[in-house]
Amino acid sequence: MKLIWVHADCLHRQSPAYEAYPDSPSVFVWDDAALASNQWSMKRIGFIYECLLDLPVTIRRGDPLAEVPRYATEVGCTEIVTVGTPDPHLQKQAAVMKAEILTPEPFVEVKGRLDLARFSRYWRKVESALIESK
Amino acid sequence: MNMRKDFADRSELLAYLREQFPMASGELSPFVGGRAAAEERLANFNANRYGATRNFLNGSVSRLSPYIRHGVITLREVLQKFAGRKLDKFVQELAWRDYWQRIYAEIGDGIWQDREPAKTGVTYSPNLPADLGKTSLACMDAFAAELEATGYLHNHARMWFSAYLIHWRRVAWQAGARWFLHHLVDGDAASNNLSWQWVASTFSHKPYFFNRENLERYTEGRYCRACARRDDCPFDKSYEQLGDELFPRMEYR
Repeated sequence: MKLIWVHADCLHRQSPAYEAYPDSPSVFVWDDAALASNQWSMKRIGFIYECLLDLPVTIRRGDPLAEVPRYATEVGCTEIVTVGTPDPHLQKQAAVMKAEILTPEPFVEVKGRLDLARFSRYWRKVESALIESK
Repeated sequence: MNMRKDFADRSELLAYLREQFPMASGELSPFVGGRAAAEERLANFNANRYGATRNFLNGSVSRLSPYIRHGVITLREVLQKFAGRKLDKFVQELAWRDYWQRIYAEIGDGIWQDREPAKTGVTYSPNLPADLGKTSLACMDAFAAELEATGYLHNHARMWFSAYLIHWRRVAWQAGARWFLHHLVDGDAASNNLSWQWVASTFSHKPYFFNRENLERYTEGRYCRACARRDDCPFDKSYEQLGDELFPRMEYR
């Protein structure tokens, strides 16, 4: 069985991980080192904590690289799955955990290469898709 | 050891979090986390008035950003809610979030570096000013206080505040961006940093700045009326005058 690693970029009950593995246990780990370096105020921590209270997730703290595998062992899971994120810190952690990465459906499907140098160029390419989807 | 999930109310949650995270300063945000709160905001959002009023501090904006930021509700879900309605401006704002996330996916930690050289010809300080929140400029002090108290600022207030810090106080955008991320409940390195860079001109063709007339209009005068510096306002000039003063060496002038 796979353990779902929930991180703060995807606190959704219908995340791709919960959808793909509805019977799997899940865990969120407050990353003490990241919190110390980011200096998030109580407003941010409290908001995320309240989001977690909505989810069928076990909450822990410490080093995610130690805590997630430890929890996996406790609940008899041998592999880890999570949701993709652009956050490089979370990406690295997912890679170390050798987690399966499930990517959410994109906001808009784009054919070909997107020029991201300016919003106007991106918008010209996606506008019709967004208008059509309305 | 598992952390607690059973709380009678927010004050019990806050007491527990203070014990667990003693280094985290302040109170809980008025934004309540969770799916129910996100759906309530979505239901109460008057999208029809968004396009015409969104630049006003009391305009009709969704305040969904903290929920979108943490994936509590997805951009697709928000888009689908308004399917079939002509709300181009709001859809474009959703697209901005997607655009920034796509850049973040490409550049990762490069989000902290200038995307392009600044066009201002100005040298910036790496530190926040010591009088942050105590400048006696009613608008800027109110924005700083609101950010620290609530973890949220209207987008226009973010633009004015960041322009003030970067262009009037000559603070490097990274210092302001980092401070915003300590507090913003929707704090996200992509949307936040790239917006600061847009203001700074490291991610646009020219710096963003404003004048008193603009701020007074969209705040409906709420700060200027009682401001101790209303007769000594550093923003009370034409755009041309301000451009000359703020960017005397700007390359394209």
